[in-house]
Amino acid sequence: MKRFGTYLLLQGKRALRLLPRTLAVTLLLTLSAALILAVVSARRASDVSRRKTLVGVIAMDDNPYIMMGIHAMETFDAMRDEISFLMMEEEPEALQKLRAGEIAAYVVVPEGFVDMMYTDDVHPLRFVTLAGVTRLDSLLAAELAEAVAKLMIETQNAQYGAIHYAMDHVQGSDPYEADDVLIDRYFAIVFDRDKLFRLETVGLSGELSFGGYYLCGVSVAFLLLWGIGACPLFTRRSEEVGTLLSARGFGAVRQVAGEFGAFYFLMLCGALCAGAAGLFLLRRAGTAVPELPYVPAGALIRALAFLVLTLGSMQFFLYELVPENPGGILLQFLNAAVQSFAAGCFYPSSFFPDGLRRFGEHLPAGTALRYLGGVMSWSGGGVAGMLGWTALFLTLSAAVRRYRQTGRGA
Amino acid sequence: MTGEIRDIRKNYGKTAVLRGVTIPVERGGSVALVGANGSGKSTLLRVLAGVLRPQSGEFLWEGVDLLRSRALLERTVAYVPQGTPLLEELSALDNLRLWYDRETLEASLSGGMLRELGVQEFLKTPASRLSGGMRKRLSIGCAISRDPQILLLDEPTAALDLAARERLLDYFSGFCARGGTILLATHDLREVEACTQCCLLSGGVVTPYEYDGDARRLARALERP
Repeated sequence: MKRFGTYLLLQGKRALRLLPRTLAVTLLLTLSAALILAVVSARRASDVSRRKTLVGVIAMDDNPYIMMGIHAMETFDAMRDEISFLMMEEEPEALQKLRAGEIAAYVVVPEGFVDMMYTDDVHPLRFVTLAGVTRLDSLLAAELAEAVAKLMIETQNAQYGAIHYAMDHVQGSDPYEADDVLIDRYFAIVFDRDKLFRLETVGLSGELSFGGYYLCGVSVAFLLLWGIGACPLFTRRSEEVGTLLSARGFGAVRQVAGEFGAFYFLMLCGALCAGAAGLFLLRRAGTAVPELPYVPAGALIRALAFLVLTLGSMQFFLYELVPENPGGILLQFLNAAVQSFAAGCFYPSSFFPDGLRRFGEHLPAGTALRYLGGVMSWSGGGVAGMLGWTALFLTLSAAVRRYRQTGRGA
Repeated sequence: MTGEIRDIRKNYGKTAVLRGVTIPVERGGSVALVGANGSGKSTLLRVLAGVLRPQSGEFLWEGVDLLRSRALLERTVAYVPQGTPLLEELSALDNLRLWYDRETLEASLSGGMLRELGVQEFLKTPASRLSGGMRKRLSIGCAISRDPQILLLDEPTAALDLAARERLLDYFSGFCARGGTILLATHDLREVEACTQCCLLSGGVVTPYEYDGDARRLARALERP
């Protein structure tokens, strides 16, 4: 036990000496990756913005006026150059297409919507879009404002016409009183927007907003890239120290535990520093991550501790497989690139085909992303999966170490 | 005779590397183990150090088989591998701390084995900045933390300059003069000359060899199947 304490302490000392360099390299890599992806995304976004926005329509009501209305909007409305409509059968299908980026939003028309317009009992339209996509919200608001303004003017004209007609032709009743009743009923329907439509937003993944999702993605990618920055800790370690320790009864399991303990410490220190700096910059830049104010600092630190445990153990195992330079760094780079892409760190996995999405979700990085997303959205993160990966990687690391020291590789 | 390496056999998979190695060892003696690259010298030393487990064989020392008693093996034998078993980013002192407890380290530095090796000259220097000779002396210093009776050395003076090599050889002769035993794997004729006994390892077996200073004859002996 005393030997383990000394070993852990000395490995920790090594790690601490490498911390500034590791942190600098990792930050540089993450910023570079984020910058490249931002440029690519911006280009793609400008391509998309030149196209018409596709909105799904799920009509539970088979009233012919619905189709007529949609046709009218597509043909005559001011929005016809910007929006086209796609009729859909089921809401789950629409939700899937929304998350996959195939449609920008969908509208659910409730059953009996048109008939209910004749009474006060109106069930609202549901307009569902991705959280953070404001373009459609503002289009809809502008359209409604214009419609309401026109309605008010036309209604005013109709009102005066009705009063004059009543004064000239209807005997025995007060036309002004009848007009008041008419206006009351009209306003009750038209100006109560809650009754007309309800705007709902869904996240890219679970309940996360765009900002929240990308914050999770970049955090996981940063931790994945940490393996590259930390290479001196592994590639410069002497195999012979382990061999001699093993000969002195300090076996592979305790060696791995001591070295991983130090690496974990290094990575956690770096993650906390980078996390604090990142949050400060986000606040300064005013970037919208709506979830962030509601997540306690303690929960974020605990989440980081678990993320570092899982992703760190994976990187440790990879260096155990290939401890030399440049093979070790190359393996870390490939692993970080493949896992961050497949898990959806930079590009939402909901955009991927089903098979790739499921594969990505079950990778260590995917598990980590889901866990962090769960913590951010208060839907609960699955720690079991993270701990499972950690146990697997550390066990494999000890097995590889033992084989190298006592097997053919010795 | 104080001890004997008896009939050591070691296979890597189906390949037999050591096919029954037997070498008598004496207290205060030194054995040079000479053989071509890949002949199994390092494997033999690793088996004797307890790093590798042999298929069969004994390492007898004062009547006890050290391979059957790990605690006794750890106290009796020190092994210095060919590479340097050091934590590069840490100072020489930190490297020593891994192998010594505090009291033994202080005693050894103030007038014991470490002082004799001259380790105190570079205690605060990071291992990565030490010269080849210093690194080797530090490696030996780490290995002898338990005051061993037998020192197993794998090519100890390879790639060292003359001064560093002579300093190490002086240390080895002092170690033997105090009753210690050295078994070293080497290609260096100066080391072979300095040893009291020479063995050729070829085809997985060992044969005693009387080295008379004729390097060509030794080379021819190594080439014989």
